[in-house]
Amino acid sequence: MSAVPDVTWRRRLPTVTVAQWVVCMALAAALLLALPGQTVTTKSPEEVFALFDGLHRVLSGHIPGRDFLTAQGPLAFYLPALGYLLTGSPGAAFPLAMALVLVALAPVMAHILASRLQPVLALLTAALLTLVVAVPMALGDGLTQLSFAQFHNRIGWAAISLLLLMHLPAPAPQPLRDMACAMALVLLMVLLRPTYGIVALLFLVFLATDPAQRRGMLPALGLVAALLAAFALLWPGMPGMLRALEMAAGAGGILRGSWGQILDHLLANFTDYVLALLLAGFALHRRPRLRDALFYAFCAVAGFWLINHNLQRWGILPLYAMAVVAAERLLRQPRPAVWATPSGIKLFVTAMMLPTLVHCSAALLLHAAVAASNSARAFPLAGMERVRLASLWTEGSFAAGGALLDQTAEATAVLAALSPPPGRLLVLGGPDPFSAALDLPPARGIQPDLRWLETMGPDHHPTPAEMLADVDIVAERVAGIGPAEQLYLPSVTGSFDLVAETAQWRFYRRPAP
Amino acid sequence: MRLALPLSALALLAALLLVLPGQTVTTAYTNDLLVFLDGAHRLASGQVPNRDFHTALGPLVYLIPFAGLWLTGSLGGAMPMGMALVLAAFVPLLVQVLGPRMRPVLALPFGAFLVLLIALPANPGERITALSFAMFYNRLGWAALALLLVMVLRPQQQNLWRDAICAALLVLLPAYVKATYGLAAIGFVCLMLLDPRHRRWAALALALAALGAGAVELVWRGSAGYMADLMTTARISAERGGRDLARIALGNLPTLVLFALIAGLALRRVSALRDLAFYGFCLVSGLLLLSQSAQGWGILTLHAGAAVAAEKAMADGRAPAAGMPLLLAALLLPIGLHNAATLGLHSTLAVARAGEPIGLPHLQEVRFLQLRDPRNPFVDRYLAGLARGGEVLARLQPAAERVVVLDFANPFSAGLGLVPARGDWSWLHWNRNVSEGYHLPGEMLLADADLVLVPEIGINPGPLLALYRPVLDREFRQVLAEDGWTIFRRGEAAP
Repeated sequence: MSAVPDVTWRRRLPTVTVAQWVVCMALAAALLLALPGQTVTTKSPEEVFALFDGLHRVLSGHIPGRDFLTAQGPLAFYLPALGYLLTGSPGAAFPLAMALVLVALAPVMAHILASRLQPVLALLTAALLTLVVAVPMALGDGLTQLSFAQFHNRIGWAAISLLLLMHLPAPAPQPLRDMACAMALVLLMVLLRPTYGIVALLFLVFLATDPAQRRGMLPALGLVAALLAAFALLWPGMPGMLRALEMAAGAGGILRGSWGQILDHLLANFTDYVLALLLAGFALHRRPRLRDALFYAFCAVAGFWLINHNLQRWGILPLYAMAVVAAERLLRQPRPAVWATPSGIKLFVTAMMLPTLVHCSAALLLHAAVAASNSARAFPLAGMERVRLASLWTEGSFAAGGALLDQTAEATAVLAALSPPPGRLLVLGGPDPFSAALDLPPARGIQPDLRWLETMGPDHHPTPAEMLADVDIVAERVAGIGPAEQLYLPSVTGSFDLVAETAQWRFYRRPAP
Repeated sequence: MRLALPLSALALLAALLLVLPGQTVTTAYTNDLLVFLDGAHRLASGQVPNRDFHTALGPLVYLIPFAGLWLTGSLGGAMPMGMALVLAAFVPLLVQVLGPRMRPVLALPFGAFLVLLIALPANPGERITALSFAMFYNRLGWAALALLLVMVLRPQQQNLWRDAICAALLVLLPAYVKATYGLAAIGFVCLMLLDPRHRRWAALALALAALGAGAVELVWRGSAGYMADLMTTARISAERGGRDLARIALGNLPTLVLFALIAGLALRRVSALRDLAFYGFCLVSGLLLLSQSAQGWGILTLHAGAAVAAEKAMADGRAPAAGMPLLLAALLLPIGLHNAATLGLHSTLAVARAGEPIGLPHLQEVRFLQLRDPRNPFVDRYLAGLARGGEVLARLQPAAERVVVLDFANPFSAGLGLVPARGDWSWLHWNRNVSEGYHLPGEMLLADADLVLVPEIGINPGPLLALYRPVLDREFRQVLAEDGWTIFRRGEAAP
């Protein structure tokens, strides 16, 4: 009975309009992010330092994987670098990078969603994926916890969700566009973060074996394989990337954590699992399809595997792709079931997404408002004036962060006063804020957010000789020495001289030959 | 009846899952649980709440575990059996209120949601690993209030006495569990007085509730004490400001958003000021109630408001009406399943005899288990301290009785089967019901105490000892200080 209004709706909002809406949403979110030209955080400044460490490295000519070990793909560094090159301001680099990603994703999103989904589902999904990329907040955090940390994960979630949605065959196939979209998404993920890349490649193989999609997806798979082979041969950072992956697999394992932690992590996403599985069950009950069942299982398992490798409790976006595919399958049924009416299915998907839509748009607006009002405390470090620490009912982390900023500024001044001026610098016990602030040439080494027992471990780490090879100064964070730093500290205290000390830092210098 | 059978079956299943293992397993808030076991023991020893001991919680909070203890004869069975009894009493109310007001496709999920809320051996919204019967009164209060709110829907057939009796019981139940829920319930019935269509049953319900309270007082004679203890607690506990409410709202954002969506869809059709007032009441009372509890999640008046809105939208019968059951399911199903899983986990652990019994002779069927990863070392030390305290007390000559512990909970009267002291507080929570400024004078708190125990490791023994030190020095003498416990016995200080 209520199938009738859907048809009229579809007629009133033709496919072109849906696509335009999708692009408009992405552009609006991009503008909200980029226009203020500032980075605002309410979490620890260390997260910003870690991001700026990477940015400073590539801007100084480092190649990820060749000059420093990292478990992330090169795009995780070159996207912010592009943001910097376009604005000339490190504070604007990250918001602009995310805005650029939104602009680049918009046509892909518009094509995939508009060609496959009913308008309501297409618009809801577009809003969700746009906000997931745009929101300067780790998914699952409270909406006052603003931070760009782990930004690459959010891009990965949106990209993998879009790719998963391609499982739905388009009523009017456009194999060439499909091929272009799939290739763009898979390459983006491989070059951004290997975990997403692996899942994306596996799923592309699944798509290429689908008779309905083969015309677009088989060539996509072939081209992606060829391009990746060329990349692997030509990219100088490849050996380092492989080594970091091997370290991560060795230290953290294929599935991280104890079974208790894994169960706890699953339960943190319990609501999404229940809702997505319910819709998938409905869809399979109405029309059992083996490939659909495989697809739902892939979303549920691969989605968890991805979050298991992220620093993130909530936010398995593939479950939303799963629900949307199931909803679309149900809506395409000629005669709806009484217990799953079209309006019920649409409301159900709305109910699943709306809390996140409200949460993320509130956080995005909050970031834009604070950034535009210049109200928060600017970082007292050279080059970071347009990065601001705000207190949005987060007095605790604001006070701790402010103290850390003061200590860092003090230590930077001490370093700057050293004679002869400092050369390459390595920080033990946290990310490196000094090299960027003093514009020092970065030392070779590792990316600062390699995590103990996850991406490195007692048997999987660079040797002290590798780490200290070209280092002039070692900065030891007095309060922050963990097991990872203990690997290197003895070599430092053994052969370097203590040259300066503040309340929070000790600086060691390699003796002049 | 289409509702009675499935809801009774679910309640029976939940009750069996609670009762059959004959054990209480706790992984969190163990000190709170001990308060209710102590309460059950006090009643079993002939004490009456608010007459023989102070408490700001209602008498039902003590009667329920006492009934469980009486029926099972075991402190480990007290809470599970108590909650099973509550389920048995609640299901008829559920059927009588929901049956005539909501179509089964909404009433069944909402009813099942409330049954699982009562049966849940944990606080709603917390991790599945935080098993505890502690703060069960909040679940009862929420469930009763949520069911009462459904009475804003008009029944298919008016039945004045049925409605008034149900409403009166749903006012009295929360009022005798935790006063704030009772206040909200009375507020709602008063709101109903303003509506001519509801006025008759609301007025009769208030009258019946007043009569009921009078009848209870005839037997209990503790109402004045209840009020006095409530006032003390209210004075000590800090007021919550607008900012706390905003924080709670942010913590419950998904519920708020879905509530607004469902209420908005229902309002879009018939934009009645009355409906708005009702949804506003759900929101405001729920926020205030949650701010008064130790939890950060679970404004369960919103779930009731959403169920009411779904029924209104379906009764209205236009476009999204057919989608309401699925929409309501999206709100209720994940929580319901999580609660069912938590209940199942408790039963499994209870059957498997997981964890260790709390180290006092009468608490062998109350088991503690660390499910937190990493472990919470404090609880291990706290429980080891209780076991050592029990051993010390058992050795004491002359034999211990009328023990008061200067800490949050007193597990010894129940755990060793001692005659409990009179005139003290059911529990002592610093800056909640005892503070520097407002406290029972030591002469009264310890008036009946023979032994006073002060632990080294406890929730808040330090400030309590400082506060009551003068009385201890005057009227007691220290007989022992070992194994983490200092024990004072009534009598002149040794020369």
